[in-house]
Amino acid sequence: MSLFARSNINTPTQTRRLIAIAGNPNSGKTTLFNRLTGARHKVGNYPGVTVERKIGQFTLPSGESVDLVDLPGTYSFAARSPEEQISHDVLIGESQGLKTPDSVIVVLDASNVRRNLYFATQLRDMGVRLIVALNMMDIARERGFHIDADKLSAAIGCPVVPVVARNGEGIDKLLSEIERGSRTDGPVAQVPRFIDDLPEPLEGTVQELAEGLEQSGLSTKENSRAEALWLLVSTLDGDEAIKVSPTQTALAKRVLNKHKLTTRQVRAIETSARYQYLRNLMVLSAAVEQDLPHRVTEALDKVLLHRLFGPIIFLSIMAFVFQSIFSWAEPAMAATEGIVGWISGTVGQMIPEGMFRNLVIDGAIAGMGNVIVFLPQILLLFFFIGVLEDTGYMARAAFLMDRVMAKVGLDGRAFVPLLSSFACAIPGIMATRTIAGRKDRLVTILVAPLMSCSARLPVYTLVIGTVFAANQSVLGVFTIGGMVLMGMYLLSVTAGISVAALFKKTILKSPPPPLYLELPTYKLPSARSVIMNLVDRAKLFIMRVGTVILAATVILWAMMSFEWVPTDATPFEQARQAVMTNTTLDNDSQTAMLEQIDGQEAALRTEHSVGGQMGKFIEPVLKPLGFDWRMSIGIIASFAAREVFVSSLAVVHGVKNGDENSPTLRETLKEARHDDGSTIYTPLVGLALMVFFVLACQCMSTVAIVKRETNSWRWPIFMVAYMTVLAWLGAFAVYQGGKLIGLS
Amino acid sequence: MKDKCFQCLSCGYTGDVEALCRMDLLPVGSRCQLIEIEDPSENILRLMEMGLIPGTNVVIERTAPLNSPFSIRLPGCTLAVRREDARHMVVAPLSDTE
Repeated sequence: MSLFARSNINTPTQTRRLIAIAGNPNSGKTTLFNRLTGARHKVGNYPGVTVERKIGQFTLPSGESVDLVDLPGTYSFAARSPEEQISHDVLIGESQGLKTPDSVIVVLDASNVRRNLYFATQLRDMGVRLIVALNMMDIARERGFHIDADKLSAAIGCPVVPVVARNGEGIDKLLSEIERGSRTDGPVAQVPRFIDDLPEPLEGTVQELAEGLEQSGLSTKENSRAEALWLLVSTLDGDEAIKVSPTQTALAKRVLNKHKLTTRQVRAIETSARYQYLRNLMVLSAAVEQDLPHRVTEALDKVLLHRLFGPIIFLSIMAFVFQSIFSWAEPAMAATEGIVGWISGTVGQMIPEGMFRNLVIDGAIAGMGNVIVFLPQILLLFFFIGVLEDTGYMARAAFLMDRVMAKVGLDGRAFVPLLSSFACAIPGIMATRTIAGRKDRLVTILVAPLMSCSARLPVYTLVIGTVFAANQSVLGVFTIGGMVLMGMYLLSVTAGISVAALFKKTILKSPPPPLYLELPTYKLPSARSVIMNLVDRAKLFIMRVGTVILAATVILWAMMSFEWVPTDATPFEQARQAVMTNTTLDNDSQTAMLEQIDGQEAALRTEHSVGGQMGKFIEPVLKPLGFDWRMSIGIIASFAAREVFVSSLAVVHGVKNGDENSPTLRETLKEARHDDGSTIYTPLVGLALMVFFVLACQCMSTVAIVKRETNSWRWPIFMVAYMTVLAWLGAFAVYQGGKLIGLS
Repeated sequence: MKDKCFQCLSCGYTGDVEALCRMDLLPVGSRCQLIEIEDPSENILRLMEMGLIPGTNVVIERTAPLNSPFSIRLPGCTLAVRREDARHMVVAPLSDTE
């Protein structure tokens, strides 16, 4: 069980030195992080936000072990959301649980040094000790970029080490620079920084705010100007306001008003002025920027971004990914279930029959099975996402899908998570991390469970098979069953789109999702990075989500097995005795009758259980939808996982071992009657039931993953609430509307 | 008016500033120099930080299937820009020889 082991070696400590690693997206930051730390890292969240924090360890040539924290990849140091504020907080030592980093490794893509330096010089303004890792020099040279590392080092006043993170070239030199840099306690080299000489009107504004900060004791003399500029360019309005003290906000607003400037204007001025400053740096570093096009990228984009073939290829890739999580995960999931079954069997033999054995087998082991069963899908989806992301194709997918998704108010990057949710919402919701805007990401998470996942299929299959002549053909090639099934998928898509559009306009009101997208050059994915990411995802899921799922399974098991009303077993015992002693019966019919009695007893016990009583209790609420108390019990039990509805329905109807294809179960349901003798499972009730399952959030694993991804119970609770209301209304409309127009 | 860009005075553009255009109107394959960005939105500010600042030479590369966004190449990288954002960008078209 090494996956569950929490090793101490990965926890940052106060005694070890802390190094931060930062850089633009696509600069090779993650590859370098992996290269330095190997498997010695741990993934978690920054306190209070859902931004992933990766902390690892590596050893310096001297044998000293240091911590390495991965900062989010970003193009600018300016903070426009709490997520982007993290880099700032870590660097000034205000991130909870982390000390001030000793030095910062900035990874620069050597093919675009100028833009990468934009971010690097912002960091240097903050007075942090930088070590520049000039990455991918080999590719840069091919593309006609030349830069003199020594001259660049002299121009920006910090060590510059050319490296190739992919194959480890230059890592030794980087390590010794880290060692040296960390040991020097002198100030950062005295080379004029951008912040030291600002053009007007920046100079006046920044200086005034800097003095204000110093006087209020909010900043030190060395850092006050950089801190002032950071405050001025970081969002100061709206509900996504960054978390700075009210005094700082008030000071910054006063200075801005006095100079008749807005945050945006200051940012535009800073950006232009900094690029002007970088132009000089490039000259000083003897940079040659020829910018020959990247041949492979050019040729691939001609096809992959073609106006006709581009979307076709994208949809084919998506179809492949979808097919794989939808059906190829099946053998692995079946194997998982087999293993869990084998464990249950083995453990079952070791523990004497009774409540404790049931707790272990139907609670704990079944719960672990409920967790592990998701792993094949998660691993497959993240394998594809990892490969597509690393090659640079994912940015192209966002480029192709932007217009369509923006029409609904969703980010172009929401397409892949939503599509994956048709297989299972769990990996889909985990994959929303690529969406930059907090609100855009939340909207995507909230509608992902509306996509009709594969766990709903058994429910559809059973209901369609029971209430419709499923195989009767319509329009030649189609069947009624197929058409009804397609209707459910259409409903799911329509509901998802409408709800997303509604949330985007109301509770998560925000401007259309932004598009600031770089189309990076194509690269071969690194197997190492892809695999490491897979291991991280699996670990995170098992430890953070698995525990909640496990607990919920045990609670549901208890609800379904503890009896609220005691069951009198005597009549069943008597009936059994009667069958056993009846000599006129042959063996087969005796067994059949005994099974029938067992089923009846199980049905009564389930009815008497806490969950069963709850089902009866909520029956009046579900009655207007055409559901009886047995369906209510099934709906409560199916919160463990939607497909449990089928087996619960079988139990309450006294059918042993019924699954969605079992003819016995279908026949029993068809024969089921209300007290007044009318059929329970009419086509209309079946339709209402399926609509309910399309729209309801009947999945505790989804709730658990949303809790983890949004870092609070607020959103998962809201999600269950809105989906339940939606499901009730949808089923109500179908049932009552159908009755009105005379259907049954 | 001919020897220095009157819009920003800092971009160094010395071409024919009377022949200005907006970036969203340029066809695929054309080259231009970004002269000025009018009223930059939050999204455009991010593009600016990624290097799309006045004075930059830009090639319009290709458009997405529904005509927006489109991709542009600047020295060192390729960016995707929405057509409505590109409306804010005043450019000077360049001929192939420039």
